[in-house]
Amino acid sequence: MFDNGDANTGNDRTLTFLNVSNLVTTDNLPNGFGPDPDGTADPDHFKIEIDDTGKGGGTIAAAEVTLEVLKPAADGSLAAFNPPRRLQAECRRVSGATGGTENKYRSRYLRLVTDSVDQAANADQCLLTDWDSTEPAIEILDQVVRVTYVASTGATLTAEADVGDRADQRRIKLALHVVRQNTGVAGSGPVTTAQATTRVHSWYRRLYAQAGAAPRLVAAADEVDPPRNLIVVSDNSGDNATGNADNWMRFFIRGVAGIQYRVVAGDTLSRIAQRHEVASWQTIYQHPRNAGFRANRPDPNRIYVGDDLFIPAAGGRVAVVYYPAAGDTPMTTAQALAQRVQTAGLDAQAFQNAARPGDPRGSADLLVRQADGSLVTLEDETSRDTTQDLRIALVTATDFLVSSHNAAGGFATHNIGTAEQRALVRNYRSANDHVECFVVDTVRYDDLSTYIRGRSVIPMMFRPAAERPVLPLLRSTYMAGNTMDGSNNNPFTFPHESGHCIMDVYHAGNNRQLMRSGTSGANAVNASKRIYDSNVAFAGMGGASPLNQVTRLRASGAAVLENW
Amino acid sequence: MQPNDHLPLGDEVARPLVLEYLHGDAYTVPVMPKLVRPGFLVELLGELDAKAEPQTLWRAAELVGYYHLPAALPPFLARLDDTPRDSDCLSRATAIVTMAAWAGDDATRALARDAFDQLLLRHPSAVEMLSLLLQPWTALGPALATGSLRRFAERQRDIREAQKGSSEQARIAAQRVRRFVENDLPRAEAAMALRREIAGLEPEVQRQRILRIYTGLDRAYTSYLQRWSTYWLLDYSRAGQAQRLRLARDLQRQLDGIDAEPGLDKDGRRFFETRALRAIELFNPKQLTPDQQTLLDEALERGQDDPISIVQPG
Repeated sequence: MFDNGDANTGNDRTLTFLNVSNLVTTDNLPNGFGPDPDGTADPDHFKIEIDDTGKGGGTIAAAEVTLEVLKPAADGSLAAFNPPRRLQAECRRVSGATGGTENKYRSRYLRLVTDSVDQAANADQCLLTDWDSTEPAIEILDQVVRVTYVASTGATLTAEADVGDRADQRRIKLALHVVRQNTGVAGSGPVTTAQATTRVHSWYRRLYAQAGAAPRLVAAADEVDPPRNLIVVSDNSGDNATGNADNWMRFFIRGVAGIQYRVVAGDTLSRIAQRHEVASWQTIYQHPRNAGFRANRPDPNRIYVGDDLFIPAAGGRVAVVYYPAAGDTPMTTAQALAQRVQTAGLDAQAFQNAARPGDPRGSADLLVRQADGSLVTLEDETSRDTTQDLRIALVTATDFLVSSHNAAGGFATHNIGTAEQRALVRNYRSANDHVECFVVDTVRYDDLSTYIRGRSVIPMMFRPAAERPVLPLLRSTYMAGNTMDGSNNNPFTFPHESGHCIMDVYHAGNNRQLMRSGTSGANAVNASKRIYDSNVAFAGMGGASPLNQVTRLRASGAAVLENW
Repeated sequence: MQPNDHLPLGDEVARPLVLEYLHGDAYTVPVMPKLVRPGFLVELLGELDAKAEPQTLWRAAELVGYYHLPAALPPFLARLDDTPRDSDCLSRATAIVTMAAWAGDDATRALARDAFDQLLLRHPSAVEMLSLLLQPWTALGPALATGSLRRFAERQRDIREAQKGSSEQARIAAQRVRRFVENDLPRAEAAMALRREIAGLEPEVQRQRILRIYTGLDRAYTSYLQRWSTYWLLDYSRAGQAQRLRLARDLQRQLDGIDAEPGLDKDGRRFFETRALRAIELFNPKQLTPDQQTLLDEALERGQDDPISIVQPG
């Protein structure tokens, strides 16, 4: 049987399941056969106990006791891995026999580990329970450990224990999107969807198995085009419009036939043509769709405020021109722009953003799509209002811009992200009940200060409400390609960023923890890959730290977790 | 100062520290500038693999700027043609601009400008760096006033326009330059003109105008002017207690007259009050009434501090 404790003190605990170890493999693992406080203290440790009255002698040789990790087969049986994942465990007679333990033999303290580096670091005491690249659907937490021993009577004795507590396991819901370098070109992303998926199946599982959790993709990973269909009003300031003289603002939409325009004070047909970059006013005036206008205004020099005109596309694109009034909020302007865009037969939605800490009010996003939901391209934005600016989110897989914590004010853009982040989530995020991951080529802070390997939007429930991120940014992550590619480099980065989203924590002080600041770039025994289930200190968490990460994961991450 | 602050680290001690910083996970510069022999850093940076990870190259770039190592520039520039990835190029551009910002002599700034020009010519996505030129902390900022930046940017726009049919990346690069030339640059130039106009005003009027920019009553070209106004106020306040009291009184006068401000909505008013009270708290905290102190505390509690918070003068 499997147990953990001290046979001599009556403090034994028989184990029906075995936890994946979350301690550094070369630390705190006594290699003697007797009881040891360090060994007993960790509930993830286990021993094999064999009761064989006829055995005699003080030792059962390692060759006689086989531990093997098995995987569930389709028919409900258990099957061996290929190659087998085994450990031969020597057992020794329990000394100082009391209470009928005189025939009992016990192994050293043993651990379950999820990667081969940890296993190799102490091959005599560590048993590998890992994913299987040939059967990626097999979960670590669905595996079983079986111990086999041929007793002195000739009978084969076996005992089994589950990997993980079946009654207390969670799935972490994830969605994976690879952002293409080139619109419409399949395979032009920095990694393939298969590579990104493999990262989840391998490293994400290995890490979160320590916390009794495993990832589940809510849908197959997909490739997405870099959207350029989001334009922001007052992105940098949240400012109302000044309404200064000739404060026109404009952007262009590609691929539409034309748009309606309502004449404002100061307009002439020539100015309208110039603002819309149409070659001449006659092109507008003589257009068949303006026949009614011509009938009402036979003199092209006499047009009136409130007249409606059709502006045909020129050069494959059409301009949206607008003159904001003094005091118009960003949302007012975005809604007005949306109304104009809709006259081109497009779907346009305005979104109010939360105020960036330090701004008087939030900016507003305008998202434009074809009526069938497909992307359109916006370009060449300009604003001549002295306060209210326009900015198109120019999403690119390379140098994808994310909000910076480094900006003055600390969390200057965390709560609203960058326009590029919002463009991705507003286009591709379907629900907020999972962690959303976008894989790009390189990730850069929006103050251009540095490249980073990944970024996450943390709930920050421990901070003032104004600093918390808004839906749908909440629990989204943005990963550099070198963390999700076909190599094993940067194995802990995505689990780390995801950990921010689920646990709602900043960085752990301990450099062996998954949540340390800057995860290790390669897998090693001392790498940052542990999720301790005891208290760990976190920076910037105030009274919430130190905290237990496993408990935290289940409480703060409830919205993205589901039962096994 | 620590007792041994002035003593340089031996190269053998510095090497692992610097390499750990370049290739590892630490987020802060690990050693103080005076502790590493600059020549040794130049050697180390020269050894970097051109295909190193972007993060590593950026960190190298940061060292170039942080340690002010113009001698490290040539090896970076020499590798431009070997650089397959634009992100690497941008790392170097950052280094160059950073160094220019920190440099104290015209020759280095000139070298930086030339290097930057070369970068933009060779690497389309380096146009992202154009926006850095508008930041008030770069030493290239004066180029705005002379118009040389506009000439430079317009040339870049023409180049990008010619290239934009070649690839999606080139189209986006062209978009960025166009945005810079057509949208960002005019705003920055207008902001500079406003600064010049304010600089020519009578001192009393000038101070009132700058205070209005700081508090957000005047928000024209805010993103270009508000940080400037903050530093102006700090400089002014450092002149003495009389100046600090004057600023606090001016701010109180603005607070008293807030109802007469046209077009100030609820959000704008709350923003103004927070900033004005925050500044009064700094310049003359005794002037705050209990009600004002409560208002300020509540605003800060909501996380509505300004992003360019005033720092303690002196």
